[in-house]
Formats: sequence, structure tokens, C-alpha cells
Amino acid sequence: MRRGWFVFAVLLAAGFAASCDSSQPSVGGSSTAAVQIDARANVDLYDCYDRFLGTTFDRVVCTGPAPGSLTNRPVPWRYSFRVILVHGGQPNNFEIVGNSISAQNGNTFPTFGDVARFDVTTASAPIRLDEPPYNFQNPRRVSQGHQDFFIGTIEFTDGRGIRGPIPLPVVNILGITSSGPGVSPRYTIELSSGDSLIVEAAKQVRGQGPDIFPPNIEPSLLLGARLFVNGAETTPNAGTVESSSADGAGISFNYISD
Amino acid sequence: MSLSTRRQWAAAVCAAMIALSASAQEPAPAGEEPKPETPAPAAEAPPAPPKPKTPLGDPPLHRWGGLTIAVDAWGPELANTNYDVAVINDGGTYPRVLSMPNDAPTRLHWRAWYHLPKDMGSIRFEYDSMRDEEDIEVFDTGNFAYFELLTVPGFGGLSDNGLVDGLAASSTTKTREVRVEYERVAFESPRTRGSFHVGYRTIDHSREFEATYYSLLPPFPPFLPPNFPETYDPSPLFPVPDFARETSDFSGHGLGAGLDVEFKLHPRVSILAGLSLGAVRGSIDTRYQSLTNFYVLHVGDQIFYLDFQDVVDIINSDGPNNSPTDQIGQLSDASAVAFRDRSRMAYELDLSMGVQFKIWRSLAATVGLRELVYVDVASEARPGFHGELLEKNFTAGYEGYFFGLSYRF
Repeated sequence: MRRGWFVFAVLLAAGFAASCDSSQPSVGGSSTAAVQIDARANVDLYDCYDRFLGTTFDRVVCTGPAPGSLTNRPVPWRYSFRVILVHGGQPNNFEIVGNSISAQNGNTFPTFGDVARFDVTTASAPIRLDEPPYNFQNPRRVSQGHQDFFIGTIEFTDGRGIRGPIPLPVVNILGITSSGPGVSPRYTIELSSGDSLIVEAAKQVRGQGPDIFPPNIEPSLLLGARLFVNGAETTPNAGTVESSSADGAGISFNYISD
Repeated sequence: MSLSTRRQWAAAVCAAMIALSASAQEPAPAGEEPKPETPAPAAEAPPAPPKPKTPLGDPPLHRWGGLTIAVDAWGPELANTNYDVAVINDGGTYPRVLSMPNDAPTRLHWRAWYHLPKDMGSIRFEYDSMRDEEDIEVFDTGNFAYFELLTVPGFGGLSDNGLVDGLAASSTTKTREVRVEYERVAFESPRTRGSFHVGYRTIDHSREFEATYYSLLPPFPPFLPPNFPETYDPSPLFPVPDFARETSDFSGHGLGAGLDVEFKLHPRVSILAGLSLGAVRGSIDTRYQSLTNFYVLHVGDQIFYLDFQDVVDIINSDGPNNSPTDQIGQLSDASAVAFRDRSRMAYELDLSMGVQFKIWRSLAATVGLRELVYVDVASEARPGFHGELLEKNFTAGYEGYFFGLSYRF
């Protein structure tokens, strides 16, 4: 009988010892946050064509704006960008993990080197008759945020004359490029549980950027951000994810990792 | 009585019952020992006389009297702390109060008796010292769900609504007591012995509580080009933490009396119960200071109050050619209350119960539970929202198990 009690006590002690195992998994963990920035504005639509000299491609030629075509589309606008990581439980431990302010990153990246994506939407356009020795193929209607509006020769129909091609910006965020001109690249940050993220971005002023907006019309250029955590779009904890239309305005928001 | 206190008393009673059952299994006391075996035949040598057993219990008094020293080690857990730092309003149904944690550091309780000759009673000296220090830090960046409780309402928090996302607080509670009393046996029977004690006692109690409240992650607009220079330093705009501190110091002396009763269950086992009451008159110093901060806009010689949304709007209006943000500053709202040497009557209740085991001669070990209450030994005085003075008295309580040893010389 005593032996039975002894065995029972030993089993009970073993059970308690097992339940006191300190190597239980900890709560929380790491996550991956990703930020993408887009810009939108009111732009006009233009009819673009591939101009050929005989069978040889010559250039892209666009005419417009199409009457009454003002619409809101993505535009490849430049912006400044900064990401600050505040480590959990260490409020004074700020770490700048991404920064396009050249004076703060040792001039390794230009202040307005970040570029939002292009508009890749195309619509049908009227056929343009041949103008010997040229012929015009592949008619399409695109916005001023489309690549064609940058690389094309623009024949303005509102009396502004002709504009030649302008430099084509490379879509990127802190040097991270995308798979295509219409895809927003994402800047990723590894977060530990309790970390806080501060994301800031600001538009380049219109006077310093490419002339892609309709004249005499407020383009309402807006900068917007989307936050993804472990691949799922997430609402930040505080701040703004869309700028005002004021020239040079920006966004700032923060996210607190669980 | 709280659940934990009831549980502790129940544990003490259980310990007494266990001691009773243990005593039942021990051999009979010395006075009832079985008679020695039949002596050996006369032809054999007489056995050596049995070695006299060491007598158990207190030795007789010397000509100069006697001396007993006792020390108890115990973990006095602070009760009635009233150290509330913040209210957490994190979206739950009911807000929760964040209070300082409560540890129970081991302290010593010293007692000494000088037993007067000719059974004239004893002079009893007693010394108690309790000290409880706590710290707490919460850095919940960006989650402005902590409402400041220690600062003066009005300008606390990021948006002057008392809400912050980080805090650090510390508290210190100290109590020291010295008693000098005359003790004498009041009644004694084979199973029970009671003694009363009455005399002088001094009590010192100190309470310090301070908290710093942070707005760690304010949702500022971006401080980026083109509206701000590449070298712009926004740190002057970071919210200055709010701070509050209060102290209370009591010192007094007075009279007290008590009764200790011993229930003898066995020559080696007794149950001890003690009760002591005291009334102490003294003086108390109370201080309070609070520092909260808010934004202002400097326009020439004029200063305009800004809430945080105003600050955000001004920063958003900043441009490459105009910088009203440079006109934003921060000011502090300071409040302080101090009372010195205010007369105060405080009361004391000391209640204990334990089981004593006599080990060897007069060496005894005691295990038990003790409750120590100091009524009105601390106070708080601080300004209210409308400038009125809010006063509150506090009672300090300690409770915990003790293990003690005593020896009479």
C-alpha cells in the first residue's frame, strides 16, 4: 500500500515538473511589413501612335488632349521617403531603416529619387491616316501618367505646339525597382513583436517635376501609401496614408507590431 | 477581508492542525515515560545511571534576571498601497487601473526581553522595519490608451486629454517602529499562558510615488523635403514628458498595549496568538508637484495655446518658403502643494498567530502569519481639475508569513 502511495507521489511530482517546463514557446514573433507609395492626379488623355518610316519604327507620336478627357490616373511622381523603426520597449532607440534624404544617407540616394508607378491603362483611339512618308500604327489612348507621354513627341492641339520626349523616370522605392512600369515596388522591413514603424513620404513640388499636367487646371496631385504586413494589407495605427493636394505635401503614419 | 488574507489565515489554522496531529504521533512526554526495565540480577554490575536529559523550556532566572532574544524573518506584502498610475482604456468594455506591482521582500522583526529578577515582569524591546520599492515601465508606442492619474488634469498627455502611450513610475514605502514595553504574565494554567504588555512606541512612515508620462509616438506630419530642409531637426517638437511626484512623511510616538496568549498543546508544541494596539500622535509632511506640458504658437510677443491638431495643421501648412512650424513651442503648467508639520493621530493594529516548536532547551522556532496595520499614517494633497484641494488619508498595511527563532539566556 505504501509503495502504491510512493509511486503515486512520484508520478504527481513528475507531472508538476513537466508542467513547469520553462522552455514554453514565447508569445509574439517577427513579421514583415511592406510599404508601397503611389501618386495620382487629374490628367488629360492623349492619342498615341507608333510612327513608322516605311517599315522602320521611327518614334511615338501623341496628339491631344482629347476633348473632355480629364481623368484621375496614377502618375510617376517623385517623392522623398523615410522609414523609422522604434524598437519595442526602447522608446529612445530610433533606427532609420530607409531614407532618401541625401543629406542624411551620405548622398548615397537622391532626395527625390523615389518614383511612383506609371499609368498603364490604354483605350482605343481613332486610326490616324498615313502622312507620307510616315504611317501610324498601334493607335491607343493613354493618360499623361503613361510612359508614352514621356517618350513620345506630343503634338498639342490646344495651341502649345510640339513637345519632344522628356526623361523617363525609373519606378523605384529607395532603389528597389518593380517588375513593370505599372507595378508599385514595395519597401520591406522586418519587425519584431512590439516594434513601431514610422513611415514618411512627401511629394516633390510641381515646379521641379516633369510638366505632365494640364494647363490652368488644379491637378490635385495626391501621394498615397499602402501598408502590408505578412502580405496582407493593413491599416496603420495612426497618421495619414494620403496626402493633401497642397504642393509638396506628404504623408506620415505609424504601425505597431503585435 | 480579502480572499488572499482569508486563505493565509486558513493556512495558519491548517498548520496548527498539522502540528497537533504531529504531536499526537510523538512519544509521550518526559513525565510519562515508561518505567525502566526490571533491574538485572544482583550478581551483575549495576547499570550506569541514565544520562540526565536536557531540560526543555525556559531556564530559571539568574540573580540578575534573564534575557530572551527573538528574531522573525517575514515577507511583509504591502496592502492598501493606493499607488494607481494610469487608467488603461484599450477598447475593452471596462477601463482598467494600472497600479504599481507588489513584492514582498524579506525583512526582520527583532524582539528582546529583559526579565526582571524575582518574577517582577519583563522589559520588552521590539523593532520593526519594512521597506517596499517598486518600479514599472510601460512603453506602448503609438497606443495612446493610458490616462494619467498622478498629474493634475488639464494639460496632460499629447492632446491635453491625459492620454499617453508610455509611462515610468516608482514607489517607495517605508515604515519603522520601535516599542519599549513592560510585560507581565496575566494568567497561567497548565494549558494556557497569557501575558499583557503596555508601553511606549514610535512610528515613522514614508511614502514616495512618482511617475513620468511619455508621448512616444505622436502622429506628426512628415518632416521631409521639400517643405522642410534636409537637415531639419524636429526634436524640439517632440512632446516633453509630463511628471508628477508626491511624498508623505509621518513621524510620531505614543502608547500601546497588547496581549500574547500561548496555548500549550504538547510540551514541545504551542499555538501563539498576539494582539497589540497603539495610538500614536505625530506630525506629517505632505508634498505634491505636477508638471504638464502643452504647445503654444509664438506670434511676436503674443503666445497662443495650441492643441495637437493645431500643431499638425501648422506643420502641414509649412512650405519651402514659409515655416510657421518654427514658431511652435512648448510651455509647462506646474502645480505644487506642500503641507509641513501637520498634527496627525495614527493608530496601529498588530495581529499574529503561529505555531511554536520547542527545539532544545529554550530554543524555539515559530511559524505563523502576521497582520500589521498603520491607520492614517500617510496622506495626499493635490490640486483638482478646478483648482480645488483634494486630500486623502492612507492606511499602510503589511501581511505575511514569518519564521522565527527565540532563545532565552
